[in-house]
This record gives sequence, structure tokens and C-alpha cells, in this order.
Amino acid sequence: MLAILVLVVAAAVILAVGLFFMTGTQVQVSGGGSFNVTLTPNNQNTSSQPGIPIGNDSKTVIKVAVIGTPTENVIMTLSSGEAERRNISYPVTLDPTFVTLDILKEYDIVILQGDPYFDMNAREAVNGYVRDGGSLIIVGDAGSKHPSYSNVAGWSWPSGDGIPVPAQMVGELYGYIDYANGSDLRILRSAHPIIKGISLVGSGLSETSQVVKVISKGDTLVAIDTDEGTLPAIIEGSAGLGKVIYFAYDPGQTPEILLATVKYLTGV
Amino acid sequence: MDPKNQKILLIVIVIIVALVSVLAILGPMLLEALHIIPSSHQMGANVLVLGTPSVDVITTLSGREAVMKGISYPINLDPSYITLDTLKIYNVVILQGDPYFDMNTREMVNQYVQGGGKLIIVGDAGSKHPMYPNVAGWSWPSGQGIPVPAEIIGEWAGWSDISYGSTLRWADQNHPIVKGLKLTGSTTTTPTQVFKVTAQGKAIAAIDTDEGTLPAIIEGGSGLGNVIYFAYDPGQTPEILLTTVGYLAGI
Repeated sequence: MLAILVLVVAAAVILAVGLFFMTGTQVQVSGGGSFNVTLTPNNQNTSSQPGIPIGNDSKTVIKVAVIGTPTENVIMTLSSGEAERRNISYPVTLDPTFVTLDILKEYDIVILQGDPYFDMNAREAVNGYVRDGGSLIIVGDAGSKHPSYSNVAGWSWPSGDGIPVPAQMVGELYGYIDYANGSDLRILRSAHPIIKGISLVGSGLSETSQVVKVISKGDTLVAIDTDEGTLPAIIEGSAGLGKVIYFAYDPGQTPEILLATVKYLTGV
Repeated sequence: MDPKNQKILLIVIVIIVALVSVLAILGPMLLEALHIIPSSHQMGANVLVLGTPSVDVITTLSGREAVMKGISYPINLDPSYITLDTLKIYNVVILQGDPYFDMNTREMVNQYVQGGGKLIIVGDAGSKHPMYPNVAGWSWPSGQGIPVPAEIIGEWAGWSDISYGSTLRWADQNHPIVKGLKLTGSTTTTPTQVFKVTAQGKAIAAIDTDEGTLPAIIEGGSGLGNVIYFAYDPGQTPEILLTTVGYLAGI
């Protein structure tokens, strides 16, 4: 019986140690004779702060960060009443120079727009964020160049561990970016959650816009008619545990699709 | 309690303890591997330069990008005073700017690579002997010198041949050290000195020079280690130097 008792105690200790390592939480052992195990999280989840209480029962705040310079239309869409009622919180625009994985992990969605120059650290931080389950939206040529190394072309540097974009820019390997202009959208995957409910014929951007010419490396959801033919416009991809959506045009030009994309990526 | 039941209970408990032990040990590794919890391993690379690095190499290895990547470059050493134990402290050893390596140093570097060390050699570093003018190239003594995947043109005749160029051409565009760089139009920062060598390993990049296209970056291996040879100063292509250190160190 003594042996059994010793084994039970050993099992309890090993279990407690295992839980400690697996969850990164503090284990407090108390009580006389018997073991009461209390798990206390190290980090209180800041995203569980109550959101704006009108219109939505959900307590979850969707934190969105933009790295670079978002367009007016993106800012307006993410700060609109529709976004607020959905508890989308868009508190911050980050400079790619100061981005780290820990900073990115505080956000549910990261958008790259308006700054093509990402150094190695920023590229690897974004890659790590997505692989660990983060959701990423990339717009146009954001993050495709290096601030000091002119040989770098596109998102895959360094060593293919750069930003996991499901697209390759036409001309990327030769060091230039090719643009076209267009506005009429063609829906390829009408049942996809970010498109469902959008008119199949006649959907377009609010005004004729610049479109970055890319080759799709993922699932093309939407194409766009331009002065240089029909090009991929929205492409879905993934890396590790995370999802990535690429927009070849400014998604602020289609706020309904931007909001549905945020909803789709966060599952809220 | 019935002794038979007691025995069964004991076996069950032993099995539970064994399972819990395995879970406790393997669980965190599994969760890290699946990226469910962040990795607890600090990634990084200790880099040592034997000789005199160029200013561009120092700038690249001490720069913000290198530091953020976990590259630590604290020291240059004179090749005359190194030991195998000293070399083993470092993940990546770079030979640059000093052609004169004696027998001891050559053998230490060879053993470092054979034992799994990672080596970058630049130009003619380590290819001569401080006192014996008959020594030519890296293989002396007895083929147990520095395991460089290149042979200097003119080596057997006792001289180093130099050319000048700047435009790079990829022989293997998907190699991790050049992946993501321009296929056409990638250059060194300025037109630069290129040592004329014949490749004895896998050529990754070539360079256009005033004397034709020559091997620029060559990968080789010896024993457990990897060796990458640069025919030009890798500080002229900092993006490639950073990815090479990262590739060799596995970070």
C-alpha cells in the first residue's frame, strides 16, 4: 500500500510539472495532506477587455494593426460605425522599422499597406506571426522591398522565410513593379465568405484604381478588369497555422469586402 | 483489498505514471513543434572572424538586422593563436583578409569543419603560409588543410589571379542564401575585386568580370560541416552575407 501511495504522489507531482511546462502558468500547491492545484495565468489577455456595449453581445474586441500607411478609405472603413458595432478596434499604425513578433501577437489582424520597405527583422516577424496562427492582409507592393539592399526583390527574402504572400509580382525577379488601372471586379468564388452576398455582375471599386500586376500563388477569389487585361485582385493563401489574404488594389475601395475579410479572418 | 485487485491496481497506476511522464516530457516539445506555444530556445549565432574583415563585413555583422536576427559578432582573432577549443565556441567562422595560415591553424580549421563547424572563406584567406613560400593553396599539409570547395587559378604556379566585376548571376536561384533576390540586375555595392578560382563544389552564384564570368559563391562540405566560399568581399552583398550566416547556423 505504501508503494501505491508513493506512486500516486509521484504521478500527481509529474502531472503538475507537466502542466507547468505545457501551459506556461504558475502552479500553486497548497492544502494539508491533499493537493489542490490552482492555475494562475501569467498574462491576462488584454483583448478580453469589454468592447463598446451597443449593438453586439460579443465581448471580444478584434484588434487590428496597420504596418505602413493605410489609405483614407481603409482608415474610414475600419473606424466606421459598422466596424465599431462589430467590435473592430483599429488603434494603431506601426512603422515596419520597429515591428517585433511580440508586438504583432497583440493583434488579431495585421494589415500591410502603403510601405514597400521591410527589413529582415520585420519580414521574419510577420512570417512568424502568420505561422503561429496570425491573420494577415497585404495590399499592393507593401513589404516587397528592402530599405537598404537593392538586390532584394519581392516578399520571399530572406531565404524564403520572408512575408508569406500568395502572389508574385510581375517583374519582381527583375526588380521592378508593374501596375495597371481598373475598377470592374469579376467574382471567381461567389460562395467564399468574403464575397458571398456581393453582386456577381456590376461589382466594382468606388473609383478606377491602381492594381499591382501579380501572378496568383494561392486561391484566386476575385479578378479585376484593367486597361491591361483581367488580373488577379484578391488571393487567399496560408502559412503554418495562419491565413493570408492579398489585395492587388486598395481594399478601402471596397469597404464591404474589407469588413467581410476581417470578419472571415477572425471568425467573428 | 483482494491481493489480485491490488496487483491490477498497481499495474494500472504504473501505466498511468509512465504515460504522464512521457506526456510531461514530450508535451512541451510537441506544442512547440506545432507552434501552439512559442519556442523556448533562443535562436542565434556566434560569429568569429579569423584575419581582418572588410569594413562592409563588420558593418553588416554588427548592424541592426544582424543583432535582431541573433547574430553575435564580438571578436576578430589572429590566426596564429587559435585552438580548436576556441573555434568550437563559435557557430560560424569566417576567414577573411589574412592569407597567411600556418600548419596548426590550417589543421584546427579542418578539424573544426570535420566536427560539424560552419565556415565561410573569402578570397585568398588562409591560402598561403607565413614562412614556407612553396605552400600553394589551402590543401597543405597532406590534404588536411582548410577544406575549401575552390582552387585558386595559378595556385600551382604560386600566384593569385584577380579580376574585377559587379554583376551577379545565380546558378541556383532557389538556394536559401539567394532566394528572394533579383534574378537579373543583382550586383555588388561597387565594382569589386574577384579572385579567379575554379569551383570544386556546388556553384551558387557567378559574377561577370572584365575577364569573363567567374564562380562567385561556392558551397562545399567536409565531414559534418558546411563550407561556403566567396570569391569577392561578401560585405559587398550584405543581404547575401546575412542569409549565408543564417543558413549555416540554422537560424
